[in-house]
Amino acid sequence: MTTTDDTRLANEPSVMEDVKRWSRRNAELGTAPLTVDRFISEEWFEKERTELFAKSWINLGSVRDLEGANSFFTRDIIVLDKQVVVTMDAEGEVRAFHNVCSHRGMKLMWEDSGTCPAAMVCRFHGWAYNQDGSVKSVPDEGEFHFESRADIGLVPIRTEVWNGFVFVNFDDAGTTTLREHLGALGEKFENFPYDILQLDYRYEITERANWKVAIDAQNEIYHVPMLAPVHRFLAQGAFASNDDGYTRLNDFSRLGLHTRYTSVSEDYDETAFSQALIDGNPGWNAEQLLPLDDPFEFHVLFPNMVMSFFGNMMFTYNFWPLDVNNVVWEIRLHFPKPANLADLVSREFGAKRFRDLLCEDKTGHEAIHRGCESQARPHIFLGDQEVQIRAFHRSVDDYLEGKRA
Amino acid sequence: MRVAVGPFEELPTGALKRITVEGLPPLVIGNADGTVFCLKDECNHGEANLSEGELCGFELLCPLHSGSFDVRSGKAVKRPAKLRRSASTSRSTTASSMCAPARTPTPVVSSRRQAASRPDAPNCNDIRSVPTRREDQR
Repeated sequence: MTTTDDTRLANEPSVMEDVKRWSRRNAELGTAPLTVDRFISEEWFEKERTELFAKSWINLGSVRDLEGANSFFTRDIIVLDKQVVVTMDAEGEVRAFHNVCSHRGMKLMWEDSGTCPAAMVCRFHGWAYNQDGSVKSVPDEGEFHFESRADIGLVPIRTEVWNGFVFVNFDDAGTTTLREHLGALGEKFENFPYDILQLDYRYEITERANWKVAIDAQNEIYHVPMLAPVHRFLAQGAFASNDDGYTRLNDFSRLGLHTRYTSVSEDYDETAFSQALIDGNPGWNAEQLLPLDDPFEFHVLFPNMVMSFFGNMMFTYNFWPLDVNNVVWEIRLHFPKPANLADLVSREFGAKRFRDLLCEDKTGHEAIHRGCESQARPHIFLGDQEVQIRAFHRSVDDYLEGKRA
Repeated sequence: MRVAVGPFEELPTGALKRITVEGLPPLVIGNADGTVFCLKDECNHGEANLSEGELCGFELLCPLHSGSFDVRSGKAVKRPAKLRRSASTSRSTTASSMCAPARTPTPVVSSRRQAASRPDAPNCNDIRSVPTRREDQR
């Protein structure tokens, strides 16, 4: 983790003028190019599958994906060949189980999400389970030979909830708690008012790209003034940039395995549409409801989640590898409850603009992956304004080598 | 300072031309719908000659990253060109004094700009919208 010294900071040039600031401050990350094989090698991916995804805490979504008491959602974790059902019981306790009926291995819950006030019932032979995974009833139970119902409940998965985010860990032998895994990042958001945010929009994109290609392309703002029209439009002042028009990180730090960076624009220009909304409703978006150090903060929650803030919006990403060459990118946009109609309209507009950005990004991710696959070069190069990518890959390397804190 | 750089007929509408004038950095002259202008031939963003760029109405697009400048004022109007600086005054103030006075601006509708910005328009149908449970939708 980077340590900062106030005296040193005061004597240093500003982030706008300081060149190669982040590699000096994070000398342990080095400056070497990254090898391309980490994005395209089957062997590499197999190692990530068995040593990373099978052992790390991973986020499945949040309580905002549930309808409340006696509800559930399901996820297929293709990379681990697992099916999961996450339940919330009548008391609000959240648990995760293998979504597999104990009887013959049938998929238990087939819906993406829903309510189950009575029981979760297998459609094959009608075995029924309570939200805590215990067996509620077995049709024609007398014909079976198990000794106790206690032996045939749903198989639980280690589950912990942090600020409403549901994490699971498939490593039954693992001893790291979620709190330990989140470390300094968890502490930073200890009393964060997540409860004022609701999940307003969800998008899902299946891409032909390695999961790390997709994360890396999102984990920097160097590309924003260049990539494509909506990006360039957004770049009109959304991020800090120097006199040459290049985006700048205002801050970067490693928080254990995770990373955080910020970029604060001093000359943010509202779009004509947003400006019209503000003019019509002077109170709109005026109040910063989330207690952020900077209005734009971007965190990579190792290994495959992003939690980022833009003013009062929180967006999260989850990158789910399908195999070495394919990924599902989940996007969730959260806002505080709308104060008025203009608020509602503006976030509808914001979500659609966000979606257009995603279109451009997706096209980019797939093209980058093709480029890596072509092996035109054995390496890719990272600048200092991409230091967070370097840190992410160091975390992956460390984790695969067994260094996990 | 007044310098004759060539006959007007050699500068048809939309044309850009790099010229050199003693004592000044390389310059770009051009004809935007009849308005002749002169700017320093260097983008204020990357190392690019604006004379190799493209004129869309009164907007001069940099060939490198499609940042752009309003040729009537010299001001940058689109990133990644630095918006608070003009093309002409970014590193030399001499050239800006050579900007020809602009005629009354005429509305410019340009389809070329969009075409130049991205050849492979992404397909939004690839993005699946997943229903959420937000309270105001219930």
